[in-house]
Amino acid sequence: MNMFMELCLAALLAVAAENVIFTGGIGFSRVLRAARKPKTIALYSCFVGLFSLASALTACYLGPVLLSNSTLLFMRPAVYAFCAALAYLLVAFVLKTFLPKIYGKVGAILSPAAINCIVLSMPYMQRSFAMRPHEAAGFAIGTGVAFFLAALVLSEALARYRNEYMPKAFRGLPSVLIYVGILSMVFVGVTGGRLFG
Amino acid sequence: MKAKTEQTRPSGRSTLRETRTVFTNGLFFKNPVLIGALGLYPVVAAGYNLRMAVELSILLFLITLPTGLVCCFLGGLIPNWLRPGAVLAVNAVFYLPAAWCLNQLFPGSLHSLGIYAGLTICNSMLLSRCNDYAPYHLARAVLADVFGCMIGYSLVLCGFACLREFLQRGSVWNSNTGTYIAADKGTALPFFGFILLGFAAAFTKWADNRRDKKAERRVPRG
Repeated sequence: MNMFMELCLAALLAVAAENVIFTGGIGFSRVLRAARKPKTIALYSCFVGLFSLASALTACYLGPVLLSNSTLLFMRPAVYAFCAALAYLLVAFVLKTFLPKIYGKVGAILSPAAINCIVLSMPYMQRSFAMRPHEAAGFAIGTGVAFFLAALVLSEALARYRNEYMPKAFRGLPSVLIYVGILSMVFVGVTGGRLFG
Repeated sequence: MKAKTEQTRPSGRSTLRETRTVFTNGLFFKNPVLIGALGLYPVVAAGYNLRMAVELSILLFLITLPTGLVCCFLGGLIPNWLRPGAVLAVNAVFYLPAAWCLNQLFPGSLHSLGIYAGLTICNSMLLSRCNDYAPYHLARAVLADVFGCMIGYSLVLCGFACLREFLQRGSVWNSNTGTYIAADKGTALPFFGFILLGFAAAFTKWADNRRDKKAERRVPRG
């Protein structure tokens, strides 16, 4: 029960105070692209959560080995990237070979969900907060939820930021960026500072 | 596999014009950050001082150039579903010499960049250029695109970093400018980066609209 509560708290942390997207400024390009297709947001976020989970758990078991000497430490980002590439290839291969119908539906969102900064930031988050495996799992799931909420908010906003009363130069992306800046400011109000360094 | 999109034997002058167009598009009119909203995290979160911005730009360039060329020559041979994974793996391979070079140029830079150095491997601008553009274009166009996008990206990154550093410290890269604006440390936080980026994107859009209007006026009527 205690472990489950810690998992939930880590998930809550990822959605609220330590939100990678708004507080850390990471993965916004992907969120924006996900928001442009509201019908696939839920599925996209599920995959982001799934691949983040894989990344965080990989870091839990591989992290201590990579920190053992300076050469491995230097290679750490490349190793995590390889792991992410491998995870994507494995899932894509399994879906393509055994579940081609499902692959046909999710193929387009699979690679952006697997290969992005949010997924690759998980090992660093796990290390910064010294999370145990179940906490890292909670944080990864929470990051998937945070991605979903951010994409949902932006999909609603995108439709409104094309209205004709707005100056032409600010329509679309510029106003979305300013809007996200204000949202990010709210998160700073909660956390009181930056997420990394 | 899609065919490479340039004509087989274009004339020298038209080739030069096409290459210049690809370059200027990446540089300004289709700037990857201001128009494409690609690779935003270094600009909003990491680029809050000029030194970090320059380090990130160099690291990104050192990865993008070889990866772009590899994807240009070999990308077409890889099936579409495999390519994103392959591109990430190639990025990871080229990250190692790029990071080593950066650390030689700026000792201690990898440590100071922290997470942002590692995340360069999956920068969405880098991935989109190498996954979606390079495999379908000739090496000349890929080089023009890489240089145009990288210079455009670096200008935005370094320009914002200068402004943010100046507002925060009154100095840029340890050289005091003699004036000091008492801004809060908030200028180094991602929200300020997003807001700045919003205004810069609006300016680019305004310039783009003006260019379109001028081009329309040049077309003879009737």
